[in-house]
Amino acid sequence: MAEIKIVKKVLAANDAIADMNKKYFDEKKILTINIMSSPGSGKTMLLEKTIIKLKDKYKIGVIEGDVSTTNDAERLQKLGVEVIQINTDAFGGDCHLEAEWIKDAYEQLNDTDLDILFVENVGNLVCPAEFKTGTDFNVVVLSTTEGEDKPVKYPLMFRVSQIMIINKIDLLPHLDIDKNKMEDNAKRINSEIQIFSLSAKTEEGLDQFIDWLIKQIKK
Amino acid sequence: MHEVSIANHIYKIVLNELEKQEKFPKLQKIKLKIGKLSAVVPDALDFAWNAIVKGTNLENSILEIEEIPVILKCHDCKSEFNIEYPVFLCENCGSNNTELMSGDELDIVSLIIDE
Repeated sequence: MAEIKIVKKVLAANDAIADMNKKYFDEKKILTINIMSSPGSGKTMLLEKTIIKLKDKYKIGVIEGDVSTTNDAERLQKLGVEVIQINTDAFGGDCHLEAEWIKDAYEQLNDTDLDILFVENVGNLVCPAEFKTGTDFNVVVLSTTEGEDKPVKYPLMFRVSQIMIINKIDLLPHLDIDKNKMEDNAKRINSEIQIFSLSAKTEEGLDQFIDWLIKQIKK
Repeated sequence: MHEVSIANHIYKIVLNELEKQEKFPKLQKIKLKIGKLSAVVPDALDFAWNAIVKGTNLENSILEIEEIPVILKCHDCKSEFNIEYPVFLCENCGSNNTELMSGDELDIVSLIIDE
């Protein structure tokens, strides 16, 4: 028996590509936003409403990750922005996007000279947290119906995110959830996380998020 | 769920490492360090590994997983402590000025081979 010492991060290859992505997008001055959440939290509607508000002034592209179907991509394409679909079932039904797939998808865009590139990750609060994509910001969307303890149940997701969006606040009057407690739980995991509360449906609170996004644009 | 992807990443690294040897050795064991904060379930990773190596020249190798506790250091009161529950505040002074010292590892440490 012999031992070969390696000492290597399992995801070193993904991390290296993520670093290259970050450098490339910085050089091109493209703001990149990776949106993550559980399924049904309202990521796609949030993106729709955000794109409608920004598309006349800014050039936007979307990378849409789903296990299967092109439903979400079609919803966004209708808004007149370019969308590249990644269906992970071709990669074994993966529950997340890897940095290399982001690079490949971006290269498929007809017009790569963007102001903002949104990545809608696969709906899942576990796996996407482990795989860096090289975007400027990780945004986790949590809807009010999911309960206040999600940050505690999925701590890594809330550690790796800089922004948390509490969506569906229009439903609060009908729910027993304590939104302050939801925010506290997130802050106890990540004291620096910045929180926006909004309803993508009614657009209440949406403008604060849009203003923040516009401030991050690099051009 | 993403343990299959993780197992695939491990497979690539290990294969690459073993191909560097003069003669492709028989792999017994892979020693891994996995932090408790990482979203990897050891049993699921084990299951994924066995599925991936089946029929390859890494078949019958096993994963030896050392789970690493989540340790925080407080920059205000300088205490260092192990957390069991995901609250990243100092358990001594309540400060949020804490740094993760360990617990997010997902590392291959070494390979045990037959000589």
